[in-house]
Amino acid sequence: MRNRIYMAEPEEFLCRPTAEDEAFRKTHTRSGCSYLNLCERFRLRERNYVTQYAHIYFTRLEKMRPYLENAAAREWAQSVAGNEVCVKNVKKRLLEAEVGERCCIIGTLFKKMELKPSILKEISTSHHLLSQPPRAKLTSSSDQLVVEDSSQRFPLSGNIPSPHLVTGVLVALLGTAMRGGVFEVEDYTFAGLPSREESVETEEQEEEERYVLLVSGLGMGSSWCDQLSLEMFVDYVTGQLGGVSDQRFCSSLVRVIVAGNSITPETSKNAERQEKKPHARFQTRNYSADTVEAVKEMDNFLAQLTSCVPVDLMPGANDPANYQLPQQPLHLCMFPRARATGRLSSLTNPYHTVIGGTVFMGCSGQNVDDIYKFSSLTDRLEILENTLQWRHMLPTSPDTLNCYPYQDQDPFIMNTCPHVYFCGNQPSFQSGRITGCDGQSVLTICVPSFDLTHSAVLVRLRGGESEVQEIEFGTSLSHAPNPHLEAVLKMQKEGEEKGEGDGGQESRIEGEMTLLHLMDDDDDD
Amino acid sequence: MTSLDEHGGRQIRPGKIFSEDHNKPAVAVTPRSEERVLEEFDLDYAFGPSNGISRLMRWERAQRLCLNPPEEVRRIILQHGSDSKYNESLWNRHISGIK
Repeated sequence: MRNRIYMAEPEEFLCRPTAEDEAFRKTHTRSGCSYLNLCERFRLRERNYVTQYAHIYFTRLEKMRPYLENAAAREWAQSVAGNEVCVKNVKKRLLEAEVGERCCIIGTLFKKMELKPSILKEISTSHHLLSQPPRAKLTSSSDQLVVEDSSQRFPLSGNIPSPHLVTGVLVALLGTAMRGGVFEVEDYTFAGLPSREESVETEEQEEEERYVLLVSGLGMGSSWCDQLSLEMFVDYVTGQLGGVSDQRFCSSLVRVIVAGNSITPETSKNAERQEKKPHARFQTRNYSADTVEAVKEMDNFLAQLTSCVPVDLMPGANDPANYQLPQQPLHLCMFPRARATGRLSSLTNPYHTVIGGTVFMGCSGQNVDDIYKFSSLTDRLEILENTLQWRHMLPTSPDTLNCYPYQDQDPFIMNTCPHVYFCGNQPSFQSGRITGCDGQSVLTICVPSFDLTHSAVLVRLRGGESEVQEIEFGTSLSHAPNPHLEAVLKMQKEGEEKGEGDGGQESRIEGEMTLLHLMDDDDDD
Repeated sequence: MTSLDEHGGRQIRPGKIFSEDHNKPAVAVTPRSEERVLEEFDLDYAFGPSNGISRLMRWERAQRLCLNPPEEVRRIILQHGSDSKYNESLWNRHISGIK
């Protein structure tokens, strides 16, 4: 299998066009592609903030119960004698588990963590509070895992990897309730990947090659924003960069997905600082908030892109959208020039569309970042794949990740299996492939943050066999590494060493220099 | 509905108010008032928390999750209209100021 999706032909590149050169005169038309927007289930119609979060936990458990029962039957019914009885009589309530009886129970996990930020602790010691320094990981060796449902809870011990799990994950457990109230776990399983909907039509995929470009963390409006990389990105996508074969290649790019954090977090910090100082009216007349300037820059950027390619815009943690998940689409009135082209779609934060028969699902990175803080896992791709195995996009919501208090549904449970599952704003590019028990295969992608790595991700649409590659728009001509990326990775490494994690992740030096350097990705199939 | 634990004490299990056959009321013979039926629906934790959610929405949620909520409850609520006080859970009467 080839490692590279595409490589420029050296003889065509930077050559003078000749009179007989037909290819030079030819204009390339961008390929069309079918598109289905399935983000409606994340739209909030009425906003009712009086309800408590107990409803969402109840709905989550009851909805996932049949999936967990199936998973338990699949895993355990055949393996050991005596399991069949347990699996047939899965306890409906934790209350029904008798002391000393080997049984199978289903419940939600909860992790009691000493270092989890708690408003009660802050209030109770308000005058003598030592503020906690910001840590990368909030795990400690005293964390205790508990399984619970609406009737009771059991602390867990035995064969279960407590440091890797987080609050809110649904699990089926095989084991025995002991005297003293602890449940001794022999084996555990999760709901596993959802089954794939066959109704999604795979149309004329075999005829043309089509690509989707994923980018996140553009970071407009920051002081270190590398304008040249952004310009190069726009020029590449609009076909103004490279040779004839580059243009031909870019005409098969059918969509660009911007996965959140288009505005830099610097602007929100500046805004807070400005608001604290009282200004006289005459001083603020010509003052424009940094965020407004950043949004104008974003509008210019999007206007250039949407002049020739459809763009899907997702909100992120730093964008001017609501804080709770699901983040609602950014209002198009902020992007008047881009909106006028008609090719800009503003979508929700958990993202779900079907592009050319390939189902895309993803998030702007808040889910993975939150699980990273509260578990000892350091590999972000592993965390992303775990959310697929747990069949839930945001398991830590609403405990540590703020989400809307749904009363009668939990829309983050995955009902169908995506072909491509991504999360944005990660420190580096990672990709992998995960296979479910029905043979469904999912391509998992950690999209790197553009302001750190200056790279985007190209996906070739092929349904279940989609391929992925990173494209870097590096601009420095020397071999000096990107100082900002170095600083971020160093801080992360220090944070992990302070916490209970398994050693820091390796920091990569992003020193690739050539203008259009396409990197090998060894994880490709 | 009770069992003995290892110390010989009675372990009371809060059982379902409704019997397994949801068409028959748990307490036989005397017909219960409509309000009583709705209150028992609120207190049955098999259908989830009842605070902060209207009865009709809770019934529909239970129906969607295949928990077999009693048809009688829905009939009573719709008979009086979904914006009547029959649609509010019993906690609304006891906690003031919260809808």
